[in-house]
Formats: sequence, C-alpha cells, structure tokens
Amino acid sequence: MSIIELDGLTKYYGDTKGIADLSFEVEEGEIFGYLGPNGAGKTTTIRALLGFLKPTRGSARIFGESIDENIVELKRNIGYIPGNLTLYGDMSGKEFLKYFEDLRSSSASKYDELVDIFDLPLEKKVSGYSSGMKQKLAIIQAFMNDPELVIMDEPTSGLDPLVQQNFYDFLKVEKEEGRTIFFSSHILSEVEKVCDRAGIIRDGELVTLEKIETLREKRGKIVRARIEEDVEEFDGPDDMEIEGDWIKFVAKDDIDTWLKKLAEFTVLDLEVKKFSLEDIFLHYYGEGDEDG
Amino acid sequence: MGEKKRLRLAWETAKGKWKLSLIITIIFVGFAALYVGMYPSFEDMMGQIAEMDLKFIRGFSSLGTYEGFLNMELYQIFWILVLPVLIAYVAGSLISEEIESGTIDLLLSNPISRKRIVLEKFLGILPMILLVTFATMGSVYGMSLFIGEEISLTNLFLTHLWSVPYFLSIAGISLFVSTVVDKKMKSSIIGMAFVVAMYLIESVSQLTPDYDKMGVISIVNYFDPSDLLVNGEMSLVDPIILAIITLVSVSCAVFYFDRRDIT
Repeated sequence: MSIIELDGLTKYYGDTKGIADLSFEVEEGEIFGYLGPNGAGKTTTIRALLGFLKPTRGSARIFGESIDENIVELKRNIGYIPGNLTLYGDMSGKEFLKYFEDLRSSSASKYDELVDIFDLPLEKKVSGYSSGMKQKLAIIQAFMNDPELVIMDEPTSGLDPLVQQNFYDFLKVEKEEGRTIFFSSHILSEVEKVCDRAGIIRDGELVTLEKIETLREKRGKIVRARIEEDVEEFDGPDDMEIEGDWIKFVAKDDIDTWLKKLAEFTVLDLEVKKFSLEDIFLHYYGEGDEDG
Repeated sequence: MGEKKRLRLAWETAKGKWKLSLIITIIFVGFAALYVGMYPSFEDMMGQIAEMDLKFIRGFSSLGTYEGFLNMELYQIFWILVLPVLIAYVAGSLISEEIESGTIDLLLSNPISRKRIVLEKFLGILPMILLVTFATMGSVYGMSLFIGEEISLTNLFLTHLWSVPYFLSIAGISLFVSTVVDKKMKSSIIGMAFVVAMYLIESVSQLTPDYDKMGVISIVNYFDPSDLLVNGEMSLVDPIILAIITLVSVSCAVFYFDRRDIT
C-alpha cells in the first residue's frame, strides 16, 4: 500500500517555481530518501504535503486520503521534523514534550524509550540547548506518539557524527517495526546508508526514482590524472574527458585496474574523488550544474 | 483533563503572557490608586477647570463631580487609549510571533486545525483583559472608600464590564492583523496605530458638530465610560456593535489564516 502518493503536485510562489508536476509514491514500511541539492524543492514538497502550503496544481494523498480533505486528522499519524527548526525557548525540554503530548491528545507511548536513546537535559530550558540537542528534541517529539509515518526535513543537520550514527541505527529499528519514513537530505552518502529507495529532485522536478542498489551502481570514483606522456596514448573508458593536460574519467567498479593502467605512464599528478550528488547529476542525468 | 486539553493552546498562550499581564495590571492598579488619591487636593480646582469646556473629551463638563474627575483623569485617556494600545500590542503578535520565529511549523504539525489555533490564541488573552479590567475596578473602589468619596459600585462595575467588549474588539482586530503581517513588531505596531487612529477620529468628531457623524466609524465611539460612570446611562446597543466587530474580525482572522501559505 502507498503511504504517500503525489499526483502532479505543483507549487509556484507567484511566478517562481517551487515544485512542478511531482508524481511518485512512498510505500508502506520503507525509508524513502528524498534527495536533492539545497533549493531543489525538498522543503516545498514537504510543506505542501503537510498542508502548510496550498498546492497550485495537483494533489497528494496520505494513507490513501486526500490531504485537501482532512489533513488535520491525518496528522494524528504523522510525525514531523522541520528543516528550519525553532522550538519554544521558554519551555524546558520536558514541558515542551508534555505540551505537544497534550495538543495531540494521544499518549506519548514511546517517550521513555526515546529519552533513553537520545540523552537530553530535559529539565533545562530549550533556549540553552545546543543545535544538536534541539535536533534530538525534535526527533523525540516526532516519534513519541508512535506515528505510522514520519516526515523528516534534513533531520541530521546539527547532529554530531556519533549521534548521527545512533540516529541511522534507530531509523533501521523503526523501519523494522513497520514505520514508514520520508527522509529528505542533500547528502548522497547518508541516503545510501539508510534508505531503501530514493527520489532525486532537482530544480523542482523529479529527476529519477531509484532503488538504493541501482543508485549505488551509479557510483564510482572520479579520477583525474596528469601524465608526462601524450594524453591520447592513455586508453581510458569511453566517457573519458581530456581537460588541458589532465585526464578525467569515472572509475565505476574498482579503481585498481585503472591505477595499474596509469602506472604504465609517468604520473605527474593524481586526484581520486568520491562521487557527490552534483557528480551524479553531471554523469548520469545529463545535466550540468548550469545554475550552480 | 479532557476540557483542559481541549483548551491547551489557549492555556499556554495565557501562561506565556502572564508576566506581561501582571505588569500591565500593576501599572493600571497603581495609576488608578494614584489618581483617586490625588482627588482631595484637586477637588476645589475642578469646578473652574470644567468651565474650560474641552469638548473633545467626553464628559468633561462634569469634571466638578468625583465621577467626572475620574472619567476625565483615568478613563477618557488611560482606559480608552493607553490600555487598548497595550492590548493591541499583545494581540497584534499572537500569530505573527509564531510565524516569525518559525515555531508555527511544529505547532501546525500537530493534529489541530488552523481555526483552532486562531480561536485559542484569542481566548488566551482573555485572562489578561479580565485581570486588568477588574483589578483596576477594585483599586478605584478601594481607594474611593479610603479617601471617603462615595461612588456607585453598580455603575463602576458596569463601566468596567462594558469595557470588556471594547477591549475584545481591539484584540480581535489586532489578532486579524497578526495573521496577515508576518513580522511580530510590524503587526503589533499596526494594531497600536489603529487604536490611536480610532481615538483621534472620535476626538475630532466630538470637537465640532460638523464632524459629529464621523464618530460612527470609530470603535471608540461605542464605549463611553462617562455614560455609565457619570450619568448612570447604560447603552445596550454599543456592546452589541462591539461584539459584532469582535466576531467579524476574529472570523476574518480564521478565514485568512486558514487559507494562507505558511512559507
């Protein structure tokens, strides 16, 4: 069953495009990565789904029900971690969680479990929290009422690496319990680590929807080398490019073969770089980053 | 428990404003006590001042009486203008403060409608209005007894009771502004400026008979403390008009907030 269905969802801010014609589905019990560079429209999509923004065109359904009709009731089963997080500074962490439990008028059944995992000084006022602590508080409030779906807008920003790893592990457990998770991020490696499928969005439009394994296959290392000999003599892959006296190509499977080939020449300089999200666009989806 | 939870947002709003409510209440209780306490030393001069006949202040001609003195010193400026400006300041940021700070995102992620947010926010400043209204009444009455001046408790009570719809109408209009303007200072200032403008319109309409009709567009026209306090006259129409203004402005706030984008 689809937990989220987008059908041509479009949002323009005046003449400015936010998102255009987005159609995809998020299945029950999966961790869906929503990947895109900053400003691609990830937050706009999420805000439209939650009813913060009125779509210009198109529609969306959550749990099979239209978001136009009863988004308030649907939210009983949705947890949310906002991208630009601000909390009520005057409250203590505990007061804040109690306030939200009351507003939802359903018991925070996972409260104790979450407080155990995401250790926080709950008696302290939120205004004294570090950004990582605030983010943890946001995670607790999103999961504490045991919702079926959790929508997260760049949830790991501000978390230190150790807590990030805890969070990824936590998500995997949550997934095993059958929870559906919509995870937006601009970091490719993060999405690869935790998600089952990913939708890639760029400039407000869906570029591709892939299983993570498929996406992984499209990885590789970017190799740039400068050799003393004539660059034409080097027999690289078909998509090899020559930039001045530099050779540039993508080593798809292993880099060993290519390094051995290079070793036959006199290597003056060598760079091996991991694929970034921008490289994915550049190499597989045929679009240069003409707009940065 | 169920009832309390249903108004949880209103309760939280009231709690968030309690310090400010207390400060405003102390200021008004203090001013009321001060003015009443001053009366014995000014009593003799008042009759002469009343002859100046400042028409733009309602009930000025009755300055010679104790009630007339209170009306002029306390009610026609502090009660009609200064307190409403403060109410507009508070109500004018009810929604915009959540939008400006960004807390609205998390608030809206809860299963509560935008309509409920607006209505409960409005309810949340009712305690402040009631507290300052009746605490000030207590101060006026207590000090009157203290200086040995006679004042009708019924008329005093009705004057204060009749101020509630007036204050609510100002709160309602300011609440509407706070749903439209996203910056909290800006929305508060617009609400405050509105009150001042209303006051000026009413004053000008009192000044010259030519502008007499102009007063009907001012909400200040629908609450005159001197009617009740000095003359013991009670208008039933005025509070109804103010209640309608409140209802319309709160409805506009709900209607607008329900349809707008939260970007």
